[in-house]
Amino acid sequence: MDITVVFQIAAVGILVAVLNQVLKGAGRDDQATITTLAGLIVVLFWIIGYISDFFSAVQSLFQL
Amino acid sequence: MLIRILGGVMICAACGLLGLYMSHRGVARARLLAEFKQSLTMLKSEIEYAAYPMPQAFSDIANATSENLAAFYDELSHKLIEKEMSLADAWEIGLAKFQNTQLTAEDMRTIGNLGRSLGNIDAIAQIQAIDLTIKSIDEILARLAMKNAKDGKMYKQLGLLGGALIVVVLI
Repeated sequence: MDITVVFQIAAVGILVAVLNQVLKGAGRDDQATITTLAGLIVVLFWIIGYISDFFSAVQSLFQL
Repeated sequence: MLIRILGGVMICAACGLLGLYMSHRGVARARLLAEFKQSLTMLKSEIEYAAYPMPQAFSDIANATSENLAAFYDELSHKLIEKEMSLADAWEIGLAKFQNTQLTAEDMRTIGNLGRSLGNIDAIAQIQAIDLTIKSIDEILARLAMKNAKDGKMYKQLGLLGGALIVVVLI
């Protein structure tokens, strides 16, 4: 597994958290929620392959 | 790697500039409205004290205001003298000069209503109509000042943070 993806996820987390605070401070709670969801979806796209690999590894390990 | 860094910096700069532009839009609208209000005060004094005919009053105001407003008042003066149009019609056509400015539909409606009133009434009622429009503009300006104070800072921060987010996603 490439370690850079961990740093990327951390960076997206920090930026989305700050964006969330900025939007909430301006009274735009709806957009803040949408931004958080968008960040979550982007990160999920990145790690979906790794999750799939993980489940395959578990299946083959326990011969399920 | 150098190209990636350069691209990242360019994306951040572009988004930051976009944020600056967005925050500046509200300020430009407020400035134009304030200038228009000032021109209405001038028009009021031209009607009330100098008692100039409208084309002359518009021409005088055009010489004393900024570019956008000068074009509007020049157009009005021209249409009234040369085309002999009614003031209401000339005002409606003159409003097209504000199409490419930051003024919104609400501002155009407020300004448009004044044009319809000015063409059909006597001097005293004209002054009252101008006062009413100045009051409406004051209300818009007060709302805009609050909105600009809140949104201006937000757009600047959003621009930079959005740019950084795009760079992180693309790397």
